[in-house]
Amino acid sequence: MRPTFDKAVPWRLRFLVAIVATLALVATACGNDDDSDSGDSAPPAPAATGTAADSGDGLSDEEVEIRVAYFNGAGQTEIDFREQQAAEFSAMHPNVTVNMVPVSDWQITILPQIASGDAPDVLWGGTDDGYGQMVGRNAFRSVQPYIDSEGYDLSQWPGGMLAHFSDPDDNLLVLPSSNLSFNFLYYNKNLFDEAGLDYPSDSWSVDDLIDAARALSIPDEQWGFGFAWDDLYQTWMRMYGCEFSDDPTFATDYTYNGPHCAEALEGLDELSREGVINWELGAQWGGLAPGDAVGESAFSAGHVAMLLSGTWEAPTIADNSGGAFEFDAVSAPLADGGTIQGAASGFGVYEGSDNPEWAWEYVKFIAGPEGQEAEANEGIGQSPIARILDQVYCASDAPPINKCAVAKVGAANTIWEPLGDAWVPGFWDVISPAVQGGFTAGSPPDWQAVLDEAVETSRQAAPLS
Amino acid sequence: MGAGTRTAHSPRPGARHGLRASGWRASPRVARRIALYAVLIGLSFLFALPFLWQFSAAFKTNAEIIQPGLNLIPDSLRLENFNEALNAVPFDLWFYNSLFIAVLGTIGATLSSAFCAYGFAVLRARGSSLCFGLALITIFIPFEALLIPEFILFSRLGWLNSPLPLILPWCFGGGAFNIFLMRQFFKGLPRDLVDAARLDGASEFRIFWQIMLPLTVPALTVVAVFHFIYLWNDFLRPLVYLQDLNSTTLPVGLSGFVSRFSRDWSTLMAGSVMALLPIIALFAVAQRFIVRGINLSGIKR
Amino acid sequence: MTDGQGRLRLLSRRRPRSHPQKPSGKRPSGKLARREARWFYLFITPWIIGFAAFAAWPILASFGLAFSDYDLSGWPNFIGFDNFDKMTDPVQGPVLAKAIRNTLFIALLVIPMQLVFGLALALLLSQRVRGMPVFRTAFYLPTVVSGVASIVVWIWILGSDGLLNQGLELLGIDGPVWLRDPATVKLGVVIVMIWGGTGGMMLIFLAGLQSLPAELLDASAVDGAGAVRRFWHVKLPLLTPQLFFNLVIGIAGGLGVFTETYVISTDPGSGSPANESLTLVMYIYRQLLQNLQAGYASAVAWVFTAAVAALTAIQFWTSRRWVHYEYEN
Repeated sequence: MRPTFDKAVPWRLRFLVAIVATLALVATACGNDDDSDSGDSAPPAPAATGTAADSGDGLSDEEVEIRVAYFNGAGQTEIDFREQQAAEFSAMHPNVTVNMVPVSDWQITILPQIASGDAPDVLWGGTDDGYGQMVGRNAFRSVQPYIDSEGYDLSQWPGGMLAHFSDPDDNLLVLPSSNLSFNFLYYNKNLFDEAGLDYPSDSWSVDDLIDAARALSIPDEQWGFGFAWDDLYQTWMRMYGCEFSDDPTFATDYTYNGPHCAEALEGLDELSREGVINWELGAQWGGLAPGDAVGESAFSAGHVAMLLSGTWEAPTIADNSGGAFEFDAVSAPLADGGTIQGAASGFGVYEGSDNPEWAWEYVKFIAGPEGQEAEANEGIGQSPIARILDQVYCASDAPPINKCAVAKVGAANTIWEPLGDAWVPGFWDVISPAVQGGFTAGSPPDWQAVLDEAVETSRQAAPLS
Repeated sequence: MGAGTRTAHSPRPGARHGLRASGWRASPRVARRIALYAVLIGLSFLFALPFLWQFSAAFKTNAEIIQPGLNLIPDSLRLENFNEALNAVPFDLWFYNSLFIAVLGTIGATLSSAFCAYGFAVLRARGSSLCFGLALITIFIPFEALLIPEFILFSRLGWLNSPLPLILPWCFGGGAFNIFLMRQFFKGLPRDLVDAARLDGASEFRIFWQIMLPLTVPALTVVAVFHFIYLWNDFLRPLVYLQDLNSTTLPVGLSGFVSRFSRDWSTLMAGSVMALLPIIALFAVAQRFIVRGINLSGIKR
Repeated sequence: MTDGQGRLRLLSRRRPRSHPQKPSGKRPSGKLARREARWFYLFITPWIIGFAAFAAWPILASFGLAFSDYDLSGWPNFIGFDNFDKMTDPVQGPVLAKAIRNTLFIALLVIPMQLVFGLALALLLSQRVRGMPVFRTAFYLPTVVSGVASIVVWIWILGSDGLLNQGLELLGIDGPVWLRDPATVKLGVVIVMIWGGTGGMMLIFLAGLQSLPAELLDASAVDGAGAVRRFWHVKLPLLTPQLFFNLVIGIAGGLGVFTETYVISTDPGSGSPANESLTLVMYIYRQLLQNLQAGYASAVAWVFTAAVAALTAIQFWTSRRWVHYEYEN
């Protein structure tokens, strides 16, 4: 290469080339936004129109590669399971290569990819992990045309859940495959036995829970009740019947200062000032203290009688308690009009996918009833389909034994996170500091005033409509 | 290593003698020495303690870890921890990604900075000091200020979750600091070498590649070692660019590990020890280069 | 660390009076000079590209973005000073103010302590210690491996029954749950950073101490100056270049704190508990990637950059008064 540079090209030209290359690099950065505004365009007709390579079902036989991004919460177990699923799919459709992409920090990973117009063909969508923001950015291509033309049967899914994953015109965006409840009340049977109290039951009222929690507390040693993580004060507010927004899906206004909202926090504040609840429990029993572990480690160490947590925590508790005590769980009690906070998720087709038909095919494969059943057998997620609940979860001996019953109770009055870009900055970023400030204040604050002020701030900061 | 060391290292024959003769009397001197060693041993133990504890915890059971007391010697060497760490997360993949980025980034930065530094050090041209001045200024720009446009650039190029954003920038100049360091080394080399080679008709490429570069191997090593360590520990950049679990690096993967296995101390400690080992091994092998690098770039009179 | 040395060199080059730029040979003229200039630009072409793409362009773009509503999709719209107003609005205002307060709290504690401990360790090690490399390694290793892998162990050490609290208990002190308590989480971060940063500063001081002119120390010893006096009047003035250098990198590092606070947060990157571990860089990171507010994040980043630049400039400006590059004869 030395001689070439030596004489052949005048240096000014070489310098020019360098500058042009630089500018080109800069220009690429500024352009390339053609994908971003196409969200409103109607989805094209589902089945590919007869190209020469069509097979019988209208899907092309050409070599395609589809990328599938999914939230990874279960580590290597889930990665192995998903890889195996992909291999099965490729075995059935040899022209399709499936590239599975596990993601642990979903929003931070996927939202920038959607914004830059280059995201995987199949996208996971979870109500508590940026599904609302993804919809706000038109990440999903509606699968309704496929459903309509194929006559795909959705009757097994709970209706409310499908509505939550549809656009305002009832076009389905994501095929839901899992629903987790946050209203799961784990209890330590040994501590109840020692205190001579009856175990919690599905007929419990919120007051029963509070009475038992007080009875089971021993100052600085044992806590009657705990939260698995701090944000569950929101689940607690919903238990009382507090409604966070005017519409649970397409919210246009914040209403978390409405009826029962302040009441719920007043009760909670009282309990924590009495020492029935300790917010800093987890770190004291070997937990690293981040995320879910905050209350779980304290419960597993036998220092908490009842723990509000998610349906998925049972195996962790079983592992970490090492059989030192027996535990079970029920759905946490609800006041009149109380709702259950759910976290539902499923898979949908990326708006910018080059192979939407194959992407939909893969969505059906992993999020349809068979896929959900395979997941259930693997112990991943929790199917919202009643038949699978009965056949897999209810038939299983894995603790806690009534996981299936709880899930069914939850299906009816479950509420999920509202949609839209504004919800996270408007709700989460405002209410959490306000509530935290109230709990750590020297004396109990006027909770109604705290919430009124927060709602005002929410409306200013991130108006919903 | 030539003139570069000569100017910077300058051993001082008088130093030892000078200190010895600094007029301390015998018995307080002994007491002082004992106190000095006691303090040093105590402090270095404190500094090393987190590592010692981490290494011992990597072989313990969870129950043993949360027992009170120092217990630096584990009851038994529980090697399953390492197995569990490898099986619980895509550890091998992260390790490979880290290594890939650190190795290629180091090669790119080292060669590229040497190349540019040769220009700055040996070749004379109008505008040379202006360019060098600009290079100096970039050292003081915090990376955080450049992060957002850089992120937009790479995301628009579709390079998220690819190693390119972490390697490619280093191949263009290798960072102003490294150019700096290499330039100093080149300046220390005898200029006659260049002039003689030119008289023989060698092109500048040839002079750089065949004559000058081999003489700067010690300097290249210093740059490479520092840069490798920097890339291996780098957190913010991979955190921003490599989010999916298949393409991320060890530090980012481990940071997610912390919350996922929040009670599983033994696995976490085993995993973090495996992440530490390469860098500690490199440090053990290359320590003299690091110390030399500090001394060479040190503020000398 | 690498950066640090670059700056180090820079300082030594910034001695206009004592070291005037000297051309190392006779400047060639005419055709030869032009040929050499061509080669010069060819050799620095990688740097020119890198400078344009990864320094000049980002700086300009970031400045432009600061006045836009860019959210990573579509085109940026010019919105005047809205982003700067947002920094003081009722929602972002308190959070940003907290991030700035936290960052300053950490930096103001960490930097002086790293400097003092680094200098103290260097002074101890410069006493002709047997086994010096071993001690040096023990102090410096935390700096070399200062990453996530070594920070995770601190989550345990600073836990309720962790090593630190066990140690405090021996002194009869009932320690807090450092990283979960809003009142102590920043102190926890400070401890981690002192552990991780002291060794690097020590090594710089040590290099300086070892190159001190022995004659000068001898002379002061013969004069009968005590150890303390010798330190204040002889050694410290001679170490001001190292002190200055460590201060410059210490401030940049202290204000840019991110990894430590990110990893120790109960929910990584959340700034918990109660945003008490939220730092400025983490705030920028969250605005960019969690909220995709690239325009607003750029505005905050520019304020941050301006602050660091101003501090650096002030240090250089005042350094003429207290940094002594030459010792007097």
